[in-house]
Amino acid sequence: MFLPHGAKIQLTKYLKYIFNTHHITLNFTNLLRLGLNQRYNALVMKKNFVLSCIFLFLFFGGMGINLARQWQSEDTPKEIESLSLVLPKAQRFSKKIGQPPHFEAFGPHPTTGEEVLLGLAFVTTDIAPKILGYAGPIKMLVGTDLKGKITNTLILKHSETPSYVVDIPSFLDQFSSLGIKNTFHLGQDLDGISRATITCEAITRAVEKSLKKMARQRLGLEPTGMSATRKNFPWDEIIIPLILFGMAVTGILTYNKKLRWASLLVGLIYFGLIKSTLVSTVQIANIALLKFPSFSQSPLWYMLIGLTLLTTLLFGMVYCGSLCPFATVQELLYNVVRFKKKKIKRPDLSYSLDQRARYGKHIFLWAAIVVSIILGNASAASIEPFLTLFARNGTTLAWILLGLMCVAALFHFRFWCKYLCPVGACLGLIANKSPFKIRLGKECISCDICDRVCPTRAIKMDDTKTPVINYPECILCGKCIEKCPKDTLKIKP
Amino acid sequence: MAQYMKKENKYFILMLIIAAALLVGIVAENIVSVILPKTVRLNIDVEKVKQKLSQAGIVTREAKHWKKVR
Repeated sequence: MFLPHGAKIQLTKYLKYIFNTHHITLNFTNLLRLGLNQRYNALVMKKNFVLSCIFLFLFFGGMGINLARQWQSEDTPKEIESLSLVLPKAQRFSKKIGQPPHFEAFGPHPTTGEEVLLGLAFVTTDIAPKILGYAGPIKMLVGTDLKGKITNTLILKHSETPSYVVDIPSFLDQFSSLGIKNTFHLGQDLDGISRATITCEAITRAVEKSLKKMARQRLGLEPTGMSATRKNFPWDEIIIPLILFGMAVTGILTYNKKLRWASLLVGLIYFGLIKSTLVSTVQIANIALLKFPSFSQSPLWYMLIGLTLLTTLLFGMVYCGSLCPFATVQELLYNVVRFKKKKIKRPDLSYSLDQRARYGKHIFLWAAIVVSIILGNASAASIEPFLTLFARNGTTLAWILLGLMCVAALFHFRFWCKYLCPVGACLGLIANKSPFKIRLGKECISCDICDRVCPTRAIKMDDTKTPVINYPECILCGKCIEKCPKDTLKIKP
Repeated sequence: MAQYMKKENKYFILMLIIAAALLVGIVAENIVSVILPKTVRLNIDVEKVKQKLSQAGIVTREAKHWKKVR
């Protein structure tokens, strides 16, 4: 080629670096190969860049809107509307007065007919603001008569996951039999809601604390002491997630399939069946709304979210690939069917249709965040079928979706994850930036095996027969590394 | 062009469309549950009301549908 000698040396070094080979000739074919490979890489990078920008715009924009709204918000009209529901015998209510803040309810005396004070109503977050549910404060309006007995309890605002708190009305009905002389022990005096322990504990403590404080300070009564709260700090919620994430990362870095399956199964049992706590769009929306549970009540929330973000930033899709309980269920369904009937082939889906369909999960992620920001409540983002599966509670549509995803998982490897999971879409954008990735070595012979064995179609041979890995889709299963005849694929920075 | 589409592609698109429709429905249900929470309801002691009415000499009966009482 007609170039100055110095430029030729520099260009040759660059080509050797790109193709990882010591034997390269500077000619037109190699330059064309470099150009086409870089063009395909550039397209993949550009697509991920645009998706990242849209997500960051919605996420931080929503956070800003929520902050502005919190400064301006006035919930008093809703409180006033609900007063007659907590004290139905009252005919007139005062404005919110006094310390602690409360409403006074007046109505006719049963015998004389004169207007007398019948009871008080108060908002729990005015009196016990530091008691938080799973996703932030739970605002309740409680009515009490003059003897300190609860007349009714209503929830005015909450951000708890809907499928876990479907039974809240029947839970709240139990409070109508309690008063200041009662203890409020969950599990003894009150039946909680299965899988919603933190929500029930928060409601119970908030109602008890605010009722007894109101009775003491405004009604001059002597309530019993507060019921004992959870005594022991749940250290298992710190230690077990650390162990599980450690197992997952070790399995990935040592290309150990058994360790990966062990972390998938233990993750299914611990996160799915025992704790029913998974990374979900509700948590992403709650972070955008700046609603966090208290660490002492819910350390698992912080460990799960923190470790997921950390491992995704460093290594890629660790949670999705090696820990997500619903992904485990899908993989089990997919593999069990093939174990029994080995002739079932993977559907021969066209590559372009497959890639276009993957935008769906980004669209659902954006929609969930936008709707949550508009409503100021992350409950709207509760769309994942695993919430139905592990909480064993959901609406009809949610159960139908779960059934459909299980059927789809029999034929398509991780159907929900690839095409619909908003969490996967979010984590994929973060994984794209991780320093440790599966990278191609210098011994690649363009045999195409990695493209064919990749279960999520994250590897594609480009026009120059060079494998290109789409990192947001790569679940670090290690199949490409295992099957590569030249051992040229490795995880490295 | 649709007639040349492979069977797998057609089933895949159908499954995606159904899943997407279900997801939209679930989001709509969630929005309704936030805007109209189930906890807003009256707690009326029906038995107590019936007892007071019968003490006053009024016969109570279950109303199955609106009907002009003659």
